[in-house]
Amino acid sequence: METFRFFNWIKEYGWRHLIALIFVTFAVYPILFVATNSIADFANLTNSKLIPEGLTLKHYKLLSSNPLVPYFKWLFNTYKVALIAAFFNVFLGSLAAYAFSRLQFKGRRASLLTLVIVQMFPSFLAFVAIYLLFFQISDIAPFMGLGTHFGLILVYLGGSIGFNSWLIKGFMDTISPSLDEAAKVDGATDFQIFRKIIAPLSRPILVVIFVITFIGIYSDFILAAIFLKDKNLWTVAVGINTVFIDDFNADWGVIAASSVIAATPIAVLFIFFQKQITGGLTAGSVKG
Amino acid sequence: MKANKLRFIVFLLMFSLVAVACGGDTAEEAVDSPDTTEAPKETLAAPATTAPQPEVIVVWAEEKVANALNPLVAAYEAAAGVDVEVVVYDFGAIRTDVQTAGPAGEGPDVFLGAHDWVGELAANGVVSPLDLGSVASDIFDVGVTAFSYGGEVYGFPYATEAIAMYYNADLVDSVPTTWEDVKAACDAAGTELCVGAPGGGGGGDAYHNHPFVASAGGYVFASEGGFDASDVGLDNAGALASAEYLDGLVKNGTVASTDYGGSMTAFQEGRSLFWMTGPWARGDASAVNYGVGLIPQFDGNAATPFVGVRGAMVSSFSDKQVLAQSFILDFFATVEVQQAMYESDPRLPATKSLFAIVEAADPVAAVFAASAANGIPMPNIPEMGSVWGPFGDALLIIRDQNYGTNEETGVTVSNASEAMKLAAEQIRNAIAGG
Amino acid sequence: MIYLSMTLSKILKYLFLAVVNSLIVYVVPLALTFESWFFLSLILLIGFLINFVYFTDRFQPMKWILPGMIFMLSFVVFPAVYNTYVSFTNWSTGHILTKTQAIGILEDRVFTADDQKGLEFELYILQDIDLNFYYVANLDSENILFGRAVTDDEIFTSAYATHEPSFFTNDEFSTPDGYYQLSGKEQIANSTILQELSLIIDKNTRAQLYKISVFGASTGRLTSTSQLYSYDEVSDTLFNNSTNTVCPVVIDNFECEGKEIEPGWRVYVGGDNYSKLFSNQRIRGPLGVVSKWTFQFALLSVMFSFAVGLLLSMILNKDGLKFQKIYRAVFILPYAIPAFVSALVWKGLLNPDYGVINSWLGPLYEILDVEPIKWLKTKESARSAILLVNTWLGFPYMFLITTGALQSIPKELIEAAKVDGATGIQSFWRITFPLLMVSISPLLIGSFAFNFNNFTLIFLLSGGGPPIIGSEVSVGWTDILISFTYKLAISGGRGNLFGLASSVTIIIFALVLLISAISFRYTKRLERIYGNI
Repeated sequence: METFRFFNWIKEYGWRHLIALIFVTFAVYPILFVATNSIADFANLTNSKLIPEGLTLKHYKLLSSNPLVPYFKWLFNTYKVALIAAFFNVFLGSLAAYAFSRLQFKGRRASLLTLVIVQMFPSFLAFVAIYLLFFQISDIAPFMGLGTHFGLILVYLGGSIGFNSWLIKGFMDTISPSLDEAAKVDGATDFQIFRKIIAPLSRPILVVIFVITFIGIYSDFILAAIFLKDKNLWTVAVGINTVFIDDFNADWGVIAASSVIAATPIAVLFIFFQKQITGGLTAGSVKG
Repeated sequence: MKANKLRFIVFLLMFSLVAVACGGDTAEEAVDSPDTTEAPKETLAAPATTAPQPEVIVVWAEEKVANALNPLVAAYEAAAGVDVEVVVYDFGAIRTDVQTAGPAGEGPDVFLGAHDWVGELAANGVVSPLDLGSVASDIFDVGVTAFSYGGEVYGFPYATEAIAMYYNADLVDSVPTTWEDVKAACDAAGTELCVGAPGGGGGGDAYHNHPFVASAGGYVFASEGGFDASDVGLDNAGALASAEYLDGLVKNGTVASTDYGGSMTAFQEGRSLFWMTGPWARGDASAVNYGVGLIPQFDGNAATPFVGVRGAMVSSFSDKQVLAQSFILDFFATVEVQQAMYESDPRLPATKSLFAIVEAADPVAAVFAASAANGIPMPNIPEMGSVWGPFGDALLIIRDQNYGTNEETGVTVSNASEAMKLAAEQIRNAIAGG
Repeated sequence: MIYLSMTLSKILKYLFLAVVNSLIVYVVPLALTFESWFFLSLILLIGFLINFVYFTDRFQPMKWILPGMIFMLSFVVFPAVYNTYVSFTNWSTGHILTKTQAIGILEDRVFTADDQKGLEFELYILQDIDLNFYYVANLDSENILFGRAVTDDEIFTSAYATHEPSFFTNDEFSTPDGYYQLSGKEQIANSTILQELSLIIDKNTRAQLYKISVFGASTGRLTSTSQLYSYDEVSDTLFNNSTNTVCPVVIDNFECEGKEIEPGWRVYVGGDNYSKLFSNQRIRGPLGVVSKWTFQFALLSVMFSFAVGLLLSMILNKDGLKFQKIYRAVFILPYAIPAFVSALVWKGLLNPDYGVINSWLGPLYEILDVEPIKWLKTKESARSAILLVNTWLGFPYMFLITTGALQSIPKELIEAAKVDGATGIQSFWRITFPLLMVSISPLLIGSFAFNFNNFTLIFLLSGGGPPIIGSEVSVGWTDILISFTYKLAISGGRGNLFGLASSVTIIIFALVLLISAISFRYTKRLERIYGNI
């Protein structure tokens, strides 16, 4: 009887744990390496030892107490920019997705395709173009020009709305149309349907996209470096790249420490966010 | 229909409200702004002493230099009655941004950069010549040569950099002068690896490998008063002999197949006796008790590392040319500023007066400076872009002993000489073919 | 309640319109002042679109799409158009300016006679009661030259400077009566005027202020009275005043005696960049190898990371599984570490001599009695390493997406299948997977496009290497089209070839477009089959 239950556990859950653990190792080992480097006296990414010889907290101390390195300001800036941009990305993306999913119009598929395809353009000189565009914006409306978080957020908004709309639209398509048809009969407007029915039901995918966009922005260096020239406005990626990386000489200890500090809230937040993604949908709301 | 009309009225109402709310300001600003920009011109008529609106000098500098400059500029600002705005820039980004921002009228007046950008910047017309005048006598020749292009000097050099050889001082007393003795020293010490040098282990690196081919007659571009792109010397007799010699050093285990990270690990863990790299790595090398010596000679010739030089330049799109020059020559070039920059970012001094201060205090820096004195500046002509790839690849093939045949083209590279010949060929083709 | 939320949408709409319109009202006069016509037209176009769409009922769907679209137009479409434009120009090192800018730079050049080069002397700056500027150039005791400092227009009408030894007593400069001497600070305040002035010494020579010193005397230097180059608009030629030669325009440069004068300027070159791409053996030679690997790389990267991501999300999509939350958080961790850090960590792990991977595989090598793999040093090992690392970098994304998308698959369907006797694997392949593909496949196409251009990974991990021996141009076995483009772009004959590189990106886009078109046809079929379950 015991063996049978154990066998049953293996069949139901055990093998899942086994595979998950294998991939946990795969996922975590390089990160452990980052973590241990962050406390190594002589940090070096080509190190053969996982546990370094001299242990120290000096890299963390440098980030937290050096007046020339306003690291926590950078961290705050990063989260501020990424949160706002990700929120509006999701908002604008879901508005567009609603139109593509629920409204009937000519060229619906074609325009959605165009949005996605345009996004695939490998602009070699995109940064030059954006730089030139913002020179003009800076002259005219300095509050949203180069050197401001506002301008940077605007650029991030253009980044991935095509893909996002498509993904959200795909999810919305699976929500039963009988729900909004019923609401329409009751005299609800499109916006009400969107706000009260479709958007809440699309919550899992909206949260996923929020997380993806957030992380994408949080690790961006190139665009942020073009925009932010004031040390107090930098994001983490810009600060670390500018201060700690030189031709050959990169301060890996500090870079590792920064990666750990910046990644931890993401991991913790994700644990709380999970419910939103996998919380399950109310029965009957799905096409069936 | 009625609804639409209503909307239109709402819109008009709103529009006019908005126009009243912000329009007042904008109109004023729009009228005002040309006035303020023209203000300095009007002071022509006023006595010079009452010139309002201080001039602003915008300086693009990397972080460490900016940290050193910021406390010092106040003195200059007070004495000169100007505002100096030091913008902290990622060093590499200065090169590209100065070429975008300058022509768009948004660039700096003064910017810092590496000497090997000079050809590109000058060819693009974004940097102004800088007559060093009496300051020149205080600068080491290598610095002036590095910033010379087409008969003009384009920058004030403030720091140089070149590689030398670190040794593990617990195991050996100094760096021998010949490679044979290096091998003997390693055998005696019994370390796993002998010399760790970047440029192997899958990571091509022409910069660190330059002494291996250029110390006994080889060269990238001939340099008689400026570099000559039509004369590539990576496959001349001297270069081929050196490359074969390197091949021997690799085969007998003197020079290990390591990339940058690998060579660093090996030295830090005491697994290699020597490490060939630059002064930036002193912090990393201090994991062991280290010393620094010159790179061993080749065939009786001193090793010639590539020398990198950093300097201050004037943007040709600055409308304050004289002011920008004055800032560099009258303030930036003073030994106090140079010393502050050295303390913030200890590269090798480019001026004799600073070197005199540094030499006494830091013998290791003096060794690096001596190594740089034997070296040649990296060519600063734009054609250098065609060199790094093929040169690094050829050396990588030798360092990793990766000889073989290309299945696509059927070309075979079976020894060091052939690798060098191929690199020289690729470079010539690239320069000719565009 | 319904009435309230109706006003909410209205409030939102009018708030949005108010913000947009006030922005326009604010910006337009400024744009006019700054004469930035491009920006003005952009703003007006956007403003018109927004007002038009929101004040009529004819474009209902646009009301939903437009806000997002504006950002895409500005920051995705505009750069793409710009890129396309550049691909038809000669933009490259030596040719980044407009012709006017290049001429401006050339006309600013001065020259100094050989025997006067390097001569540096003290320069004193005076002002008379009418606020005219005068220079005193202390060349040597025989030449203490004084005169009015004039602009370039007055050079040939101005009197020559005169020798005034009386200005110096015991080698000390004393200000002559009727003049005011400017301090260094005052010179700096007037530097933009002073830099245009010269003291005329003789027909060919003038003295110009060179360095303003706030700590000592300012210095000047001698230059020729004429500029090095003068431009003649009628014949469109440059005249070199130093050698007295005429320099005609040759395409995008002035040429003096067969020598190109830097800087040149940008010109429209039509399809030259494209024809060069296909005719130049240097470029064409490796293109085959590189393209093939680019496809393999992009396809396999998507497949591997999707497979791993889907496997993990399926495994964890089970009620009552312990540590579910922890697992999920761990699986997105690789995503939270900046890619440039993890790529370099992997490079270290893969190091054949010191890396952890080879020391873990050590026992395996011994059992199989094989040489340790020389990671990143050989074609096969480098390519496998790239795919391994990219799978690691990419699976968290796929894991997230599939976890989200799995929620939209009705459990009733799977349970129904179970009742019908389908095994777990059967119901996965027949129901879950196809349904998933309907919503996920565009993402896979997007991910394919992303990897097609995944420059960062290649650049950081292998730099494209190991080199392909004996090719015409420096190229490696792991180079993909975009990294090859980069190598081409920075290693052209004379530095950067942005025009050429841009034309390659157009070709790459065409390829991606083609693949997407085929894939989208396929997804359309999927949608038709599964979209209406």
